[in-house]
Amino acid sequence: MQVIRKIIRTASSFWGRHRLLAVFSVLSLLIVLFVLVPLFKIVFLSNKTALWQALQDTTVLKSILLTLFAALITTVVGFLLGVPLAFILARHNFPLKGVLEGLIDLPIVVPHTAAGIALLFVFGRNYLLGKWFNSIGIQFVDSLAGIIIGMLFVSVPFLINAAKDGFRKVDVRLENVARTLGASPWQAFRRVTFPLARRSILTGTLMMWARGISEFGAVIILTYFPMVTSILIYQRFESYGLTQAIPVAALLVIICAIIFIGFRLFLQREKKLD
Amino acid sequence: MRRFRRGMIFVLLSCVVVLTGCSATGAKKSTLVVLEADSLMVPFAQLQKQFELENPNINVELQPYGSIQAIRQVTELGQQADIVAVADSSLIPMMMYQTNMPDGKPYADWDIESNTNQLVLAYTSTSKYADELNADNWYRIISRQDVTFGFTDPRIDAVGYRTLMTLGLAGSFYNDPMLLQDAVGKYFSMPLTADNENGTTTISVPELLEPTDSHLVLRNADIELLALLQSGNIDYTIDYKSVVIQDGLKYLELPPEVNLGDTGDAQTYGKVVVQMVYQRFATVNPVFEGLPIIYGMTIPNNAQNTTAAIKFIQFVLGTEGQKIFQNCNQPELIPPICDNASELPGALKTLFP
Repeated sequence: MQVIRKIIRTASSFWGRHRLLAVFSVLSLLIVLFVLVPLFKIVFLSNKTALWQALQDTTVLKSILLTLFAALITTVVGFLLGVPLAFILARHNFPLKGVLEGLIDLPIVVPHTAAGIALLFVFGRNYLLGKWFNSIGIQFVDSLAGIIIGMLFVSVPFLINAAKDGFRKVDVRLENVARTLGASPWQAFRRVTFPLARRSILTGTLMMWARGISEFGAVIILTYFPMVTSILIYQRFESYGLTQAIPVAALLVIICAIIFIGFRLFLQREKKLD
Repeated sequence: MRRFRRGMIFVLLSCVVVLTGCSATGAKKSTLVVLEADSLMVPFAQLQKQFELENPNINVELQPYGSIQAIRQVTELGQQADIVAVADSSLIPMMMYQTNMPDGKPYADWDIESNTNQLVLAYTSTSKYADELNADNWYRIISRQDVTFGFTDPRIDAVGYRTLMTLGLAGSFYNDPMLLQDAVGKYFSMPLTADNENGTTTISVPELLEPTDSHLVLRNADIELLALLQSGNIDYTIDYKSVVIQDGLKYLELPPEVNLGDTGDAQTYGKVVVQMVYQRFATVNPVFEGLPIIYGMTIPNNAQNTTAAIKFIQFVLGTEGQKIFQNCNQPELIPPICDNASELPGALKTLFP
């Protein structure tokens, strides 16, 4: 009897002290399961032989490498063009800034097929930008460049938003101190602002890259070949059914999991060093 | 001030929830889930409107897919649909009769064929050589290397393998045995070949189908190709007449001997076969025999709302339904055909004595 009472007392005092944590843990567990169970399901639905086959299938490997590479180039382009914009948005006020910020989020909302078609009408061979790029030998239909602009359009808002938040968190006074100590605006940005916002920017970069890898709708309008993995999974499903599509999906999930977990661990170590 | 703002946000959010919620609910209706081929979108949207007017207690939910995808939604992904309507009626026996539900019964055991269509050559005023295009030289124009010809992936889309059939038939019709090779075959990394034996042309589609030249552009569905055509990124594509007209594109009618649109020419069409040569996945080697374009529909055996599905099919086959199809350039098949009529639900049996 006494033991039970003691247990109840401990439990209730634990409840009293850690109520918030307990409630949050239960809620967290739900969302973690929601995300993880389907992912595990994809991996474990395909048997080992099928996975092994997928791993030896040059079409699959080429496609996964192409996808990772294209998303990487996309992220570099997004970084070079998006970070400066994020800095301006975080540091300066100008007319219609709110409108611009809203517009930049639009690619996330627009159905991606529509995004692909919109890009086609700008970068297509009969339109101004398309003609110009064509004259220097770059085409956007059925090419790496097509994959990249498709990915860039839908994924760059993630980087811009993350970088903007990162820059906002950096105290302007630190920049000003650097400036009074004789740093040029470039030096202040490179030595103070950017390093302090680095973690947000890195996270945004990772999100952008990830979003690029997963893109289907916008890319398939512009480029069917070379085939990115999302399209390959779809094509395998259509031609051969689920049994051939799932191992490819599983392989992509496993490879991305390794890369992402590695990246997060790296970020964590960075934080400790900070 | 802060509390006021918080209150405002709460009010706004509740408005959104209430508004979206209201439109979603309403009177108690039964839902009829229809998986339709993309090329049925326009007539089915009109059918839906009319059908719902006449049956206010039924809510028709149209879900467009490529025909093969529509069937796979049911047979592979386990989606429960009340009607599956595809652009190639032969897909239903091939993919639904032969696939079993968990309880061992096939996903479907009959199909009704009621409408046709035909293939045309679609182009725009900016397409290369459009000014010299005519019914006698079209196949030579699309074969020119500086012309960009688009077609859908024959491994996954009905228009795709039908395009190959049309090109195969055109080879015989225009007495140009290299036509298929010149137009598409030689531009793939692995050969897409046409073999002629005893008057039958067998087109073999390799497992790896990747163009090696910008003369060819492949896509998964014709929607993408039409966007490419309208934006001038391809010059020509072959597609259903109804779809091309709905998109307001220019088109060239092809002779009935090659356009797959004349049921009277079925024998001619039968002289071409498209087979998929999947060496690794030997269990699935689909063969598509040349047939007139005939739409097919069925009620899957795991349908939830069979009553409404029967009503909808009756409506499609009725005068009103067929008038809509007529206006959408998808002529009626006279008389409609039923495969395995003995398996039809009672209410539909009377239509196919």
